Amino acid sequence: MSAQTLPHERRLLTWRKTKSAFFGSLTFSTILISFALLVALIVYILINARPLMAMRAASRAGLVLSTMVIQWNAKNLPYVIVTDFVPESEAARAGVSEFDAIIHIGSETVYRSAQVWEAIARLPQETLPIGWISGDPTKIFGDLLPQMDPQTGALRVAIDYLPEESLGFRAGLRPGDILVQIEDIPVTGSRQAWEALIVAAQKKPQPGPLAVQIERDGELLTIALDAEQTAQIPITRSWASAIWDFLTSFDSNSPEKAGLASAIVGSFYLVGLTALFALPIGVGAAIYLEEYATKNPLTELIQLLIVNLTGVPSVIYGIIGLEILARALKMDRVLITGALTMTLLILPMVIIAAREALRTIPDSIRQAAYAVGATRWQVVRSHVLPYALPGILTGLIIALSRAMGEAALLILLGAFQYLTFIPGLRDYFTVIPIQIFTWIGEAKDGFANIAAAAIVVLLAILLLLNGLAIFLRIRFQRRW
Amino acid sequence: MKPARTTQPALHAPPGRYLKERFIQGVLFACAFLAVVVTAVTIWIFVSGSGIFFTQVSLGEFLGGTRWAPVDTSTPSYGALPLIAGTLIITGIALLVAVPIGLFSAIYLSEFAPERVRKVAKPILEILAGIPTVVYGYFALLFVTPLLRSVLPEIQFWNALSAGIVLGIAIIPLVSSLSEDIIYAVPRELREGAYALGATKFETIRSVVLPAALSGIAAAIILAMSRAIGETMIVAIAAGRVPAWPPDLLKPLETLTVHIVNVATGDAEAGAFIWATIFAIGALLFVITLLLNVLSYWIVRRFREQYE
Amino acid sequence: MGRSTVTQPRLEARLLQDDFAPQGEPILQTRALSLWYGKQQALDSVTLDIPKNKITAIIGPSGCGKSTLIRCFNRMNDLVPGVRIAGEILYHRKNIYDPNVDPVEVRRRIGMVFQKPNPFPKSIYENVAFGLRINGFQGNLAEHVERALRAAALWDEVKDYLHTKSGYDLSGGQQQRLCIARTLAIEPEVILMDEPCSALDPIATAKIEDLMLELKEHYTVVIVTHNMQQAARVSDFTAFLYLGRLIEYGPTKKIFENPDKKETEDYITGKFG
Repeated sequence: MSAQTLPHERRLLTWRKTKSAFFGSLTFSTILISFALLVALIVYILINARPLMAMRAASRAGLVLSTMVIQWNAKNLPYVIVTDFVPESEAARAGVSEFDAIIHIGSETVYRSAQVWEAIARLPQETLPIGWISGDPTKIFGDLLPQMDPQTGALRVAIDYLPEESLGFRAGLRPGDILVQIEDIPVTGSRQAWEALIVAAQKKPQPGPLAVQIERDGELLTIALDAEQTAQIPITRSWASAIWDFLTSFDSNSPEKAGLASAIVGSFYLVGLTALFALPIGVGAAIYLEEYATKNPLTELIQLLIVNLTGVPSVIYGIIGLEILARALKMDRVLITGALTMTLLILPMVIIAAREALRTIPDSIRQAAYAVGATRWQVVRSHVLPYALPGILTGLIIALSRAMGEAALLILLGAFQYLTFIPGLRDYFTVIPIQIFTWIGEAKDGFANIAAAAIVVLLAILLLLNGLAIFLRIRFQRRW
Repeated sequence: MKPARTTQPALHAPPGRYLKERFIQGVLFACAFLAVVVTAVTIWIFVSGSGIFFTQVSLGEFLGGTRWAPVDTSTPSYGALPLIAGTLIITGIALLVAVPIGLFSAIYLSEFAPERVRKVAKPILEILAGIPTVVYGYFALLFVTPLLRSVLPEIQFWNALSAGIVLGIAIIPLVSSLSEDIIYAVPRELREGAYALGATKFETIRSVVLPAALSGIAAAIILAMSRAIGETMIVAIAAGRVPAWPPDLLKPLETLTVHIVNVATGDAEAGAFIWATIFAIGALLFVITLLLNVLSYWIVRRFREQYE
Repeated sequence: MGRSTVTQPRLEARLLQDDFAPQGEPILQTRALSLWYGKQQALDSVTLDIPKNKITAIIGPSGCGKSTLIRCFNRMNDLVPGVRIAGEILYHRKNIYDPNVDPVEVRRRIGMVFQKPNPFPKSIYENVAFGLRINGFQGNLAEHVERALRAAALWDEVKDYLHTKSGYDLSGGQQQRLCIARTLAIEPEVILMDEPCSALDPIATAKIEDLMLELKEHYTVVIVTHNMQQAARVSDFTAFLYLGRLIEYGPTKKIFENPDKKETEDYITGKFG
């Protein structure tokens, strides 16, 4: 064999090196994929949480909205109504009341409440130009009376009584007039007259008179009806107050009013109680296993079980908590039951972390304490435990952040609640993840957004907790 | 300074100390023993709870039946196959996502990444494990499903595919973290042996490092699988809650865990027979996950004995 | 270890005792002391008397069991899992391995200084005060701490930051003297020193050695060392241990100048070790 590299060997080597480099970049790209997914997730959540500010601004101005549907020509036509009359609000002052339909924001027709919020978010100034049609048809048409067309037998709608201050009277409608069609939409009933008004108005590029065709004394007339009222509603857009409102209000059927108050209190109560239970028990178990236990089959079994209990699905713990605590011990599905069950879930994690922390304390410290006549407990209490505490707390916080995000277990323990009060120890309760779960399940416009906002709150809390853990680790880290 | 004692010392413990020390030790032991109690109680609950279930339903019907309709009052049916199949499908998709990404990430981190990158990248990857599963559920339902719909127009609002994919993302760190530890623990001499023969990095990894770490990687995958089987929220949110037979990737389905959530969030009264189903299902889930965990634990321990 | 070997070492022990018994009152006496870590025997029937108010050095090559032996005197070996001990250690003629003897009480009377300085990660004051507190000390704590620090020749160096500096902020030699002060504070009768200078530089070593000679006046000191010069400099008696057996024990001068056994001579002259 010659010492020189032959050409085919060199080619092979190049090929092998290329393969190696390719493989390296392949593995690198998978890491990038994970990071990209993480970024995508967070960005998506943030984007979805953005309308919160406009929703809260609308709600504070008195515009609590709902998207409704008109069935017309076998089609579902969406429109927006105001579902809540808020006295003293800017909207109330402008004359908007419950069930009024919002048709236009400026020169844009809106069909869904989300569009209203988007418009608010985009507003160049701090007033919202809205055009709406009163939800009370008598204010427009007075009382309508269905009648039979004597010639065709078709159902028609006649004006039975029309007060003089109504919009219809002012436009020239009189009692006895029969409503034929509004713009090109035929009127087929009393309710339909109002719905036709909505659909017709939505077709207009901006608020303006609608052509109402009526039959008066056998003659067809067209009357221009200014059914859509307009107003400039002052809007205060502020993230600070939106977030404050969101954090301090209770759950609601309207997403722009729903907040996290009960859930946040529930979460902190639950996690606090869990910490209270899990810390002493977990540290006790860890001290036993690290400082006292001798190697025997029972110790081995305990260790094996602790490691494997960390992998048991949380729903299983939920069933245990439900069956033993809530039912057998008659504690019911309340906050304290949830906390006890959560303790079972995180206990193995706490024990493992605490054992690791205890193991970092060198034996020379224990021996030094023993040598001056300390008992085993004095060694543990005065030295081992205090020195291991930062590590133990770090582990506890990590476990608690798991508890903070846990939903499945608590669903079994009844945290699936619509709550409009601050829960106490023996109350039914809800927590942030469950609140998110409930909101995700709501079909109404806006719930997906506040679910995203709640996710942001949850992630922020988790970030703080983990930051605290990292701080503890860095601040109190000791090299032995 | 002079020692004070000159007399014959009494070397026995002062009264009470022995008792106090024993008492403390007893309390600490009780804390540790709680693990045994919890396990025993769990087993007892599932055995007794399932007992009620299996007085009414045969094991054959439970494990072999293809119709899961416990709420059907006229013709209830308790075949758990749709739930088992649903669980397996979701788990399968999740592993298809998590294993390649997780394993390759682990290889990158332990074999290619400079120490600085490794120190930063590992915790970032761990963040994925720290995100609550409801958040993943949201992401699956509202982001991934619409995204999939642009490719597969017939995909339904609730479907197994997006739930599985997102579950896979959630368990990437589980695969990568443990595999990375294991790959990192492969002794350097083994690698050096391969390099000394002129092997490239890729060849060394493929023919020396990975075979050596194989059992540990298997343990990581088993652990991830167990976690996927037990996962609840992502599936409950994004995969729907409809038991399906035969299950379809693009349609809603129900898993073992989701059935438990369904019963809990439903309005069945405490004594209703449907509550018995969650013990049978729960027992199945408990046995499967516990077996997988023990298996994984055992494999890792054997690996460590081999190399450490 | 067969059953028959139990009697054999006892005989040997008696012979050794006849061979050499140091003058003065013995404070610690081992009687046919054997020790096993699991299946491995570390001490094989060691019998020797430690005289009161003297410095006794235990020397021998590493792994000879000298650390194990010194740790038997205050029952520190109890803390090692899987240890089995046979024989007796008499302290004031009372067997400290008696079932009704509390190892904690033993350690209060027989203090120990370790190979590597191991102060607690607490203030200097707390390091010394800890032993007093747990022993229920009643009296002026601060004064007592000062006395202990003075006795350990550390007071002048640390008196200005008793509460502000942690034991870990001190230099290695200071740390070791702090450990000695910690031991002195509980006023033991015997101080065991397990290679106390192995982690220290020559100057710090010299200070500790001076300290030992001062302590001799009131305390009994047992020192394990691998440094034969140190043993020769400070000790009154020297025991040579080899492979878990006591090979020779006698006045230091005799051991170093005119040993009886060939192994001792070989070790002293540096032929192995």
